[in-house]
Parts: sequence; structure tokens; C-alpha cells
Amino acid sequence: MKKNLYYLLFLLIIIGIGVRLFNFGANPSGLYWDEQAILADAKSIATTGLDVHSKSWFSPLFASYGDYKLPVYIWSVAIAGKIVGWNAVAVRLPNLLSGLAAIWIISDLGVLLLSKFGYKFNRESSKFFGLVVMAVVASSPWAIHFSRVGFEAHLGQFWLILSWWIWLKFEKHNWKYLALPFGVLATYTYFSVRFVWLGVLAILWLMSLAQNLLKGKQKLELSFVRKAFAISLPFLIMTLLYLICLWPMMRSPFYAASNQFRLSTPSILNSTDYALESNQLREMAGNSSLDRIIFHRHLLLARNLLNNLSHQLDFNFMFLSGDQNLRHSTGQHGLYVWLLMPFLIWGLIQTFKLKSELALFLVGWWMLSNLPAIVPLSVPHSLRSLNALAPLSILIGIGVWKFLASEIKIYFKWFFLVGWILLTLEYGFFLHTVYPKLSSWDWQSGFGEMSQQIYDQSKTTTNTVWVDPFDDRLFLWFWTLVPVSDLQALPKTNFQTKNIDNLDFGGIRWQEVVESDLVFGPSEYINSEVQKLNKQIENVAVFNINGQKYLLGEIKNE
Amino acid sequence: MKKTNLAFITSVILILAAFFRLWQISVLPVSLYWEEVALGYDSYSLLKTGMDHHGNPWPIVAMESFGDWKPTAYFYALLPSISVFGLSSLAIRLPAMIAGFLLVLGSGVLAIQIFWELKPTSREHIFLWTIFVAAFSSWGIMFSRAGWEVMLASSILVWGVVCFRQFLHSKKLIFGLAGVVLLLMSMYTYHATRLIAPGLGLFLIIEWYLTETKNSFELKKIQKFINTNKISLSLFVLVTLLIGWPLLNSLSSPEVQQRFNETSRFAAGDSVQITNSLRELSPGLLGKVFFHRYYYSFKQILTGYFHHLNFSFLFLAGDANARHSTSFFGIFYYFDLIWISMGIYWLVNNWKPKYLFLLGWLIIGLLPASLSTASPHALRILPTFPVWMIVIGLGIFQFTKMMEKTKWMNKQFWIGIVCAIILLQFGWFWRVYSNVYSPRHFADWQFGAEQMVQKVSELEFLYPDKDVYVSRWQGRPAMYYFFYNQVDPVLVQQANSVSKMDQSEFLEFGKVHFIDHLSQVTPDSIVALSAQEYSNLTNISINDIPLEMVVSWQDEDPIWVVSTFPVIESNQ
Repeated sequence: MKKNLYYLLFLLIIIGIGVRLFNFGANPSGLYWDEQAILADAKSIATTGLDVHSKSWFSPLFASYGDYKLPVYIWSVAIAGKIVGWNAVAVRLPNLLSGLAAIWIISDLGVLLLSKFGYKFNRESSKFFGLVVMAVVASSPWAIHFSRVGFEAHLGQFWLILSWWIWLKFEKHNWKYLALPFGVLATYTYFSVRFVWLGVLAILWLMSLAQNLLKGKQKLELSFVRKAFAISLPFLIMTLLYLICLWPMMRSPFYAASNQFRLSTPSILNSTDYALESNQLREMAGNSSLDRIIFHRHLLLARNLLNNLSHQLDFNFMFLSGDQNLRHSTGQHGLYVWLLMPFLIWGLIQTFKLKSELALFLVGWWMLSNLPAIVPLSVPHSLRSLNALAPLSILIGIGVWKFLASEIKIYFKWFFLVGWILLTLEYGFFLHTVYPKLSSWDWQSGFGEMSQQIYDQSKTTTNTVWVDPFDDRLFLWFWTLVPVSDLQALPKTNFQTKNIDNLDFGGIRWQEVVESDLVFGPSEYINSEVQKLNKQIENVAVFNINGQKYLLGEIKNE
Repeated sequence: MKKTNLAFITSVILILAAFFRLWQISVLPVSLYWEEVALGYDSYSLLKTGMDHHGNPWPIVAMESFGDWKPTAYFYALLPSISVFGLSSLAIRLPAMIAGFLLVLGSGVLAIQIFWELKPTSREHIFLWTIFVAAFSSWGIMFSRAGWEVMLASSILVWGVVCFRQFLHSKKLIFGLAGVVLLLMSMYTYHATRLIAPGLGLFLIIEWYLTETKNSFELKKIQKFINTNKISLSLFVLVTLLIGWPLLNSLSSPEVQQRFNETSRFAAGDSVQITNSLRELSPGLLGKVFFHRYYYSFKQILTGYFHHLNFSFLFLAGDANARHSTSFFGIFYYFDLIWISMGIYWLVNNWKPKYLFLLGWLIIGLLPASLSTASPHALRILPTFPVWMIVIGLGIFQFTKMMEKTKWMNKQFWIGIVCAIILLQFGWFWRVYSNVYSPRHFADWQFGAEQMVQKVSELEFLYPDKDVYVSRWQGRPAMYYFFYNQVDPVLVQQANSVSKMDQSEFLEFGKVHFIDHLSQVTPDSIVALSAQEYSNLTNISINDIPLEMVVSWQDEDPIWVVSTFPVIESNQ
């Protein structure tokens, strides 16, 4: 009977992998700005060793189109592009591979963590637990989704888990210090990983101290301090080396600008005048000393941060609706299938029961992972909290494992596993049938083909091709069409191009438009402007993109 | 614990519970909301004439009110209160206050019953912690201080459960009958309890059966159970039929259906629309199977449940409706997260089938709110109050026990710490509630309606021949007019058949017109309008409106402007 449970779990893993692989590269149906920019830089460095702005490939920060990208994902796309060509598959391949590898690594990380915190596995139960966690990760819509798109955060979290997997795997060996390069790789892949990596290191350090020093009655004497120092030393070395490795990033000429760019996005820190709100509340309350404490601006800020955290921990977000940004989820599925919701609670309870230190470690990791997501205004955010994939999957895995290993009647277990499989299939079906249509606008589907046609057309004329900036990053699609050396030589303002040969992206200056010029933009707008100027337009191409008509036409005088 | 100590501590907690529910109840919340006014005036009408203000004699299932068919029990609970205190805020809010007080005690008694198997000292501690946290619960206090039917329903419900459990424990039939009657009564008190009370009744009967048959479902055991308890069972069925019949008989009538149609997720047909659009995007058999409306309806209910388990709702910001929350606290205090976690942890690790009753109560208690569109909803889930308080009480008890084991300090120290934490949080809440809540949310309580009616009456006295036009911008002005003028219900009942109505809300009463558009105003009349409306009507800038015409909160922006139209010099 138990063998059948194994089969069902295997089936789940295979379905999860299948959903990741099916139609890979073509769904999501277009490349988003960031993916397009990564592709352009990757192609550039793979071809010439320099990025699109002619800077060395070995840079701690790439300027990209002014949003300052970290290098590791671009490097990995450069390698992928060399193999599969410069297309959507290349941009997304690093995430697919890391997503597939993460299924096993998270599972083994779970086994290692349970063992580290004192759980005595036999071979059978460790295999079974590992399989359950693999099934949790493999079937997670969250993990699947980000394995199929080219966002750096996913690769960043992979390096992070790989780093801690190495640390735990070789805990008693110097090989454990290999965790550091992977931690650094993670940090050079996605900005916010650094907080999580250091945070996890700090929790591990505290746990080690607690495990070794809080046993029995300890007196504060020299041997105790020595022991504490001995335990802390590897962590101190790791922290120091890690900070040294961050030095190149901080020394980058783009570092200050990149921080400014990230801090300029609307966040909970800059969207409310907490001092004013605090003053108003104090006035209302009577302005006593007590009021000065309970309405202190820092408390109001902390409350708002906690409120955002609560959105990240919302069961609807985690198990039913997910992130409402269609680039981050289908909008109809949570991070995990909803049937796993009770198993998160059960897993938490069981982990506390097994080893409360382990529970605290996993919960700590989970909460730390949410920190980058709770500061911006747009919460909940599945991308920024991706570092929680490992702890959450392990917690859910423990819940499921304890349930499947319990004395509960086998048909309940069957019922549950079949339900889980069906829900994963439902997700896969949705992802591959409805989602491409629902999300085509979010993925700027059709922009690639449209840009190619405009670019080809521009080569047939010496006249100006005026491009309306209805999408102010449309030039990114042309970056991958232009020969790399030309792209590097193009003049750029704030790392963005206004002109590529005879293509003008700076907005159509109608008074400068002359006969035989080509104009491109939303049909309605182009036609109305042409009419105002008493000119004629001859349609060269009409594009129907996500229900919106765009026109490329040649200007004719009346 | 000594009996005298237990009695003393219980008394102190209950006195404090009563005090914080009663103190300044007439002005905190700052004014009567329209539902409270409607409850009050219909009860006043019943008291004076034996009929509601629409002329329906002694309704049993529901009062027509504004056409929203309110369950009747709160109206009847108001009769003694109004006969003693008259048509006043105190009278309207008193039944909810008393119910809130009894809910505190009921939660404690229920805790004793649930944890009967524990040592007497443990039971007593859990009882005390439960009533302590219930007494100082911001959720409990806020809903005890206004005329909320749900508070009365929750209190009746918990005492119904307590009585029935006492019957299971003592086998005294009188408790069983009292339990059945109270559970049925709660169904006449609030819409949600029409679903919750039968559910809890079913759970209790299942528990009764399982206890007596030792969890067996053999036919013989079933027969034996019925034979042994035939008198009790027959009586319960008889009482249920007698009391429940009017409600059962009206299940398909607007009296019961109206509210469902107004609030239910299913009435809006969202799941049908969603699944239809998904099927269009993915035609074929699999599309039909995976995008089935029943599955999406189920997901919608689940969404509703999860809304109520959101941390922000539970511990940080509470209900978005300002009448239900100060918006500074969740329905629980911050530290309750720890106690709830510890309580659940203990329950799971010391699992007994009877604890399933608490889980069942929570599931059925959250169901009505999860079925409705406005979720999370602190009001509709109030019937689950005792469950949460018991879990919090249990969690605190376990916490003090755990800390005692660490031997860092003695038990009294930890009890003192927990009490201090609870009281500090309560003090924080009370400061916000008593000082900040009214200035921030007076509009949510329709502050100004009372003052507007007074001003209108003064002008009516000065100009008895003029028509009166009162804007409906704030909602239900007719009911405020009846209530604060204590209009003779006979006159209202007479006007019921001849007046213009919106659903069942009066749009006119004699020469008083309750209007939606300024075009309805005739010259040479008295008007009561919002400041913007008045400015539009008279071309007088909002800032130039004379203060004596204005109703405002603490001399801030005008809420109402009451004047003659066109403006008469003497009136300025």
C-alpha cells in the first residue's frame, strides 16, 4: 500500500516537471522589458565581451537600460544563448535548470535540517520525507511559474539554497566554506538576497550557540567564552569574507545610482508622512506622555510594515489567488495548491513538536525572506519573497510527511494525494491554456514580431521611421535586432536610446515629419494626427496586439 | 484555588467587564447609527401600538424595517429597556451591553465545560483567564457598546450551548430544554445564527450520541440510544418544531431571503461569470471540468474563510468598516497571537474528540461571513467569540505553566506579567477608542442626524406652514425624524399606505419630504441638506454659511445645513 503512495508522489513530481518543460520559451507568450534587456546584454557580452554600453563583462553592476542589473543572471543567459541562440529560451533557461535542480536540493536540505536538529531518520523515512518535499516543490505553482520566466530573483534563491545546502552537507568539513562563494553568487544575482543570506547565517549562528551553550547549567567563565568563540568563529569568518566580497559591488560607479533607483520606487517608508500622522493622532488623543508613546511615528511605521507582512502571510495569497501581477502568477493560483494549506499549519505544529529550534529556524528564514517584499507598496509580492520557497516547502513537506506516515486510514491518504495531483493538473491546464491569453498584455506579447517588422522596414528606407513612445521601453526590442557593435556605438541618454539608425524613439515631432517618412504608433492616434496635418498615410503594416491596433504607415502629401 | 478567592477574582473581572461596557455608553460611540434608530423606533412602535411602524402586528420572524427584514428578538429585547429609559441611546444599547457582559461569563463557563477532565485548579485558571481576556477584549467591548443584534444572538447562542452541555453532563432535562430554546431563539436574533445555531445543535447531538454509545454506529446502539432518550428526544423535537416553525415556514419568503440576496457571494453570480469566461478561453471537455462553477464557488467560500484568518484582520487593523473597528487594532490584541498559537498547540498535542466541537464551532461560525461579499467581517463572525476567548485563555494558562517550569520566576510573577500585558494593551485600545475613535469616525456613526432633526423641528415650530425637505445624503433620514421627534407611531402607521417609499423607507411624511435631488425642493420651504447641496441650491459658498444653521463636529466642516429656503433674513 505504501508503495502506491510512493508512486503517486513520483507522479506528482513528474507532472510538476512536465508543467515546467511543456511549451517552454513560448509561454509566457512574450518577453518582458527586463528579459529583453537581459537578452541584449547577454548577447553583447557573449559576442564582444562588453555589455551594451561597452563596459567589461566582468562588472559588478550592469547599467542595462538604467535599472542597474546584477551580473550573474546576465552571464548565465550569455552561456545559454551561446548554446540555444538568442531567444526566449536562452533568457529563461537558467531559471528552468535551477528550478529543476531546486526540487532535489530543497528536499535534501529538508532532510539535512531535520538531521542537524536531532531528528533520527532511518533510510526509509528519510527517502520518503525527501520525496514528499520534492513533490511539494515540484507541484508548487510558485516554483513552476518562476522556473519558466527570466527573472533574476529565482536564480538568486537557487544559489541561496545551494549555499546553505553545502553548509549543512559539509558541516563537519572545511568544504562547508564553499557555501560562501554561492552566497556571493546569490547576492550578485538579485539585490535583496544579501539580507536573507546574512539573516539565515545569523539565525544559524544563534541556533548553534543555543544548541551548544544552553544545555544544562553554564557558568560565565573563560571556558564558556572560549567555547562560544569557537562556535562563532566560522560564522564570523563567513560574514567577514562575505562583506569583503560585496566590496566590488559597493565600489561600482553604479552602486549609488542603483540604490537611489531602488529607493525611489513608492514604498511604505516614503509614502506616508508618519510625523504628521503621529502629530494629528496625538492632538486628537490629548497629547499626553502616553499619547506620545502610543502614537509614535516609528510605531506607526512598524504597524504598517507588519500590516504588509500580514499580506505576505495571507492564506489567500499563499494558497488561492497568489500575486495579482500576472507576470508573477496566473492570478488564480496561490504559491501552493490550496489543499496544502492545512499542512502548513500541521507542519508548523509538527516541527515545533519535533524540534522547536528547527521550527524557529525555518520560520525565521521564511520571515526574513518576506522582508524585501514588505517595504514596497505593492503587496503581496511573490517574486520578492521567493527566498521563502525552501523554508515554506520544507514546513509544508513536514506536515504532509507526518500525515502520510501517520496511522490514518490509507484511503484518506489516497484521497489527499489524488486531490493534490488533480489540483496540480488543473494548474498546469490553466497555465497552458488560459494563462497565455489572459497575460498576453502583461508579457507584451507580439512586441517582438512587431519590432522585427518595423526594423526590417526601416532598412528599406533612408527616411526617418518615427516611433511613438506609447511604450517608453520599446527600444529594448530593437537592441536585440541591431548588430552588437552598432548597439554599443549608439549614443545613449541615461542608458536609453532615442535613435537607432533612422529609427526615432523620441516621440513623433509631427512638424518635422516629411513625405515618405514612416510613422508608427497606436492606429487611432496616428490617423487622427495625420488628419490634423492634412496629410495622407499609406498603411505599410497593421498590428493587432492584445486588442490594440498599431499602425506603421508611410506619409504622403495630399 | 479557594472558592472565596475564585468568587472574588471572578466578581472583580465581571465588574470591570460591566464597567467598560456601560461607561459613557450613550456617547461612545458618538451617535446612533441608522440600524440602531430603526431598532429603537420599531420597538417604541410595538410598545405603544402593538405594531411595527409599518403596521404589522407583533412580527415573529422578521421586522420589515427599511425592507431589510431584521430578525425580531432585539426589538423585543428593547421593549423593557425603552419602557424604562424611553427612546434614548442608553435604552437602545442596553440589551447589547447586557448580552456582551453575559457573553464574557458564558465563554468562561463553556471553558470549564470543555476542559472538565482537567484538574480543578487548571479548569479554574482557564476559566479565569477566559473571562479576563473576554472582559478586556476590544472586539467584545466594541460590539457591546452599540445596538448590535449580533451581540445578543452570540450571547444567547453561547448560553444555549452551555445549557445543552450541562444537560449532557448532568442529564437534567431542564438544561436540555433551555439549551434548545436558547439556540432556537438565537435564530430569531441575527441572520448568521440561522445557519450557526442549527450547526451547533447538530454538533451537540452528535457529541451526545457519541458519548452515550462510545463512538459506535451499530444499529443496536442507535436503537438503544433512541430508546434510552426517547422522552428527551421527543421533547426537543417538539420544542424545535414549536419554536422553529414560523422560521421554517418563512424560509422562502422575502423575510428570510432578502438578506441572503443582498449579501451573498452566490447571489451576485460571480463564479458563473468567471467560469464562463474561462471556458471561453479554453473550450473543450477539460475546460468544462476544471472551470466548473461549483469548484469556483467552493474556492470563493474558501477565500472568505481565509480573509477571516488574515493576520492584519485578526491582530493589526481589524474590519475595514469603521463601525466595527478602531482600525488601530485587529479583533484581537497583538500578544493574542502568542496565546492563540500556544492554545492551538496544546489542543493539537492533547487532542480529544470533544475539542472537535471548538473547531466545528469555528468552521460553522465563519461560514455565514465567508458566504457574504463583504469579508472579512468582524460583526458576522462574533458568534465565534467564545471559541477564540477559550483558546486565548487556554494559551495563557499554558504559557504561565511553561514559564513556571523554567523556574526563572514563580508562577505569580508570570501571571502578573501576562495581566500587565493584557491591561497595557487594553489601556492602549481604550485610549484610542475613547479619544481618537470619535473624532476620526463620527461620520460612520451618522453623527449630526440628531442635531439636524432638532434644528428642523425648531424651524417647523417657527414656520408651521412650510414644507420640509431633508436630503437623504447621509442615509435613512425619515427614521431619524421619527425617532428624535418621538413621532406618534399611529401617525406613521397611517402614513405607511399613502406615503411614497423606497423599498420600505419613507420618502415623505406629511409635509416632510426626504429627497435625493435638489430639483425636488420647492421655494418657501425648510431645507436640511449637506453643505455642498446647500451651497449648490443657494449659491452661498460653503465658507459663508452662517454658523447657527450648521451642524458640525466640534466646529469643523459642516455636516448638515438646516435653514429656510430662500434664506429668510431673521434666520441668518
